Amino acid sequence: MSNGVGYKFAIVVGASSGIGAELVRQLADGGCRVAAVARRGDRLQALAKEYPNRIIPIVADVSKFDETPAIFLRCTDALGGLDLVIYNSGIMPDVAPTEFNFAKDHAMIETNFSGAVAWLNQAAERFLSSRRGTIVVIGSVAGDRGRRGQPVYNASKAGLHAYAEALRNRLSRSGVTVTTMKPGPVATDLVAHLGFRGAIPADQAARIIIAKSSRGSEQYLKFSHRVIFSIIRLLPSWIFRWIPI
Amino acid sequence: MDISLDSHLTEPWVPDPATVQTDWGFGYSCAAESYHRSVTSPKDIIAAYADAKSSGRKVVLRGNGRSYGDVSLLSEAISLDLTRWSAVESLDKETGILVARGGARLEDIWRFSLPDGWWLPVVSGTMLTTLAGGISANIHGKNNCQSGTFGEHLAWIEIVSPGRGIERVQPDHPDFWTIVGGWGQFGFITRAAIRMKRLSSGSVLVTDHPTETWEELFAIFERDLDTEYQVAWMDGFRSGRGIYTNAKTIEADEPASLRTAYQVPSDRMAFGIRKDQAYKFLRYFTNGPGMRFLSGLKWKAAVKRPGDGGRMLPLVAYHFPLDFVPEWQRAYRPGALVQFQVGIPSEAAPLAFPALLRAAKLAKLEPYLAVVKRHRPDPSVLSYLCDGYSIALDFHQTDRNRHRLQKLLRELTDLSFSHGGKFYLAKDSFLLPADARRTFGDEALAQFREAKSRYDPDHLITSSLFRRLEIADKP
Repeated sequence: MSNGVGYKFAIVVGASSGIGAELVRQLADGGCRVAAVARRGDRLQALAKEYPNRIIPIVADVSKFDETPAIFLRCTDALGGLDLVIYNSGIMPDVAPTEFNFAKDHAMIETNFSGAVAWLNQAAERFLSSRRGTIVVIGSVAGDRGRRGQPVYNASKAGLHAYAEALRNRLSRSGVTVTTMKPGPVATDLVAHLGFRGAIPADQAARIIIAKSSRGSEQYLKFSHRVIFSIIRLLPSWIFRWIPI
Repeated sequence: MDISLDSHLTEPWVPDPATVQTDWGFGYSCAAESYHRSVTSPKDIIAAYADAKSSGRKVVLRGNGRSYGDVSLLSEAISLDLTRWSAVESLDKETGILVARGGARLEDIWRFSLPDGWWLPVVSGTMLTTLAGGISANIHGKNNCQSGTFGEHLAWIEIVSPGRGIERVQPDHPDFWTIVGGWGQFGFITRAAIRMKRLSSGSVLVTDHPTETWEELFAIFERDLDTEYQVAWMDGFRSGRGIYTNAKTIEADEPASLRTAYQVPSDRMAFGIRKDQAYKFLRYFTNGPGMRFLSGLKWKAAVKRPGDGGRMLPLVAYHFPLDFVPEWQRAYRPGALVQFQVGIPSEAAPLAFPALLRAAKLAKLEPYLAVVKRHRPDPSVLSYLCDGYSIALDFHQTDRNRHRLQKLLRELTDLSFSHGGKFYLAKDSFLLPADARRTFGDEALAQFREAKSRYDPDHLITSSLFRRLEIADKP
């Protein structure tokens, strides 16, 4: 391990708030240089001021797929290397029980799934060539089942899990690690409107994600989450007809 | 030939992530990921310079990766690999002038020339060095005191630089000794003509003298100054104990010994172990007690061996024994091999070398191997040799001892400077800008930078080491 967090150069996509911002802080605190990628430049600037020599703010919209290769190169060039890529971008707008709004759904697919493919394909291609590197995909327990409340959010995360699994298998003999993290409720802006009780603080979630990043499999934040969500995965589908979220 | 890099600038070059490769320093102590590009003609080199200029990236020149540290590494740069530009083009059997391309390894050269009775005048401890790399590092060998450095045997070199294009440079050219020993900072050396050494036999007569004290060692070195090859292996665990070896080429007419089949040793070692698998076996000994044991064994074997008559060895087996144990440095994995090599003037070496080993012993970081050679000053602008001795210490860096080792290397560096030490960049991965100034002097560095501004006005070429030492580029 080269420093406190085991990485020297990292890209965190979706870095302006919540788990992403905490990941950036903790990686930088551990001695890593981090390219923090997000749309909201003001938040990135504020974050970068906390570790001016280690955090490089890169303003980018993950749904502008054509720009991804150039921004990826900008990140690696500014960092001077690359060990770790974390794709954390995700949106979950409030969706009413009877709402079928394609614009909202499309935005979710673009940010949660297509953006991940655009970024992680770049990372995979580079790591495959250099024969080392770690990719962390921030999925969600919401991707485990199709629920009433967030059909497209569930689908986008399920797709992301399948993509990450395929990437993991594809790169398994190349010295590249792909880890899927499935956070349960975390106290972030994303789920603030849902009012979850017992949510894990974002800094704690980030700490666990970094600690488990090199495991190269699907990971939950806590053992209790693994137990609970493994049971949920086994429940018959009709039960979710009666659960509102 | 003049070139204009701007003529290539139709649109900025975009690097392809699929060309990123991880390059390592020889000792695995440092690595860099860079955009790899193989050169198969001088035109490729010029195109790479143009792409670097258009994209704002840097170019790092890379041979066969034999330097221990980061002298040919740079992350996110275009890493130009010369190893496919490697033909030996001609050998004049009358004059012994051999012309080869920059990517030719010393092995390619001797295999081409030795059957006709021509040998390289100077070789490094590995034959896997490329010609361009050897010239850029101005390599030396065990005959440094007699024959000087590699650059002193060149008739001309051809360099492709960003500022001046393709140019042939001869020893009387004012920039010759800046480029030779210039660490690839001026451009790629694409061809060179070497004045080879005539031989009638491919064997050397090797004589070992085990020593128990430093005084004994230095006395033998000075006694044998006229001998062709001189080197000493020293036990890193017991200061002063070592095996001094001298060797000279046999002058008898033995054409059969010039054949490659005679030169290349068996691919098996003791107990039938294949040499390319030996590093796996060596791993069990790559620790303090293991190396202490092997060092003791080696010394005792030399003491018991009758040394008066000497033994005959093929030139290749004598010069490059470790090349026949491929990837031996992997025995240090998952840690790394860090080498500390310093040159100390003759009068100070008898004090300095024991002091260096004492400091290592106090830090409980004894070197697994120490090698002492005798030298004369080299003519490069960034000169690294003096009239005196060099000592190379091999340290095993692990995750656990990394910080202690860095501290020790700093201590050894300061100690060396207090005895007039000079450092060799091919082995370096830890020096600081102030150390470079002390080794080379401000005047030499200014001369180096002035030439750099002519050959590479846009500062396209650099490396991690040159950034670290702030010689011609800053991080």
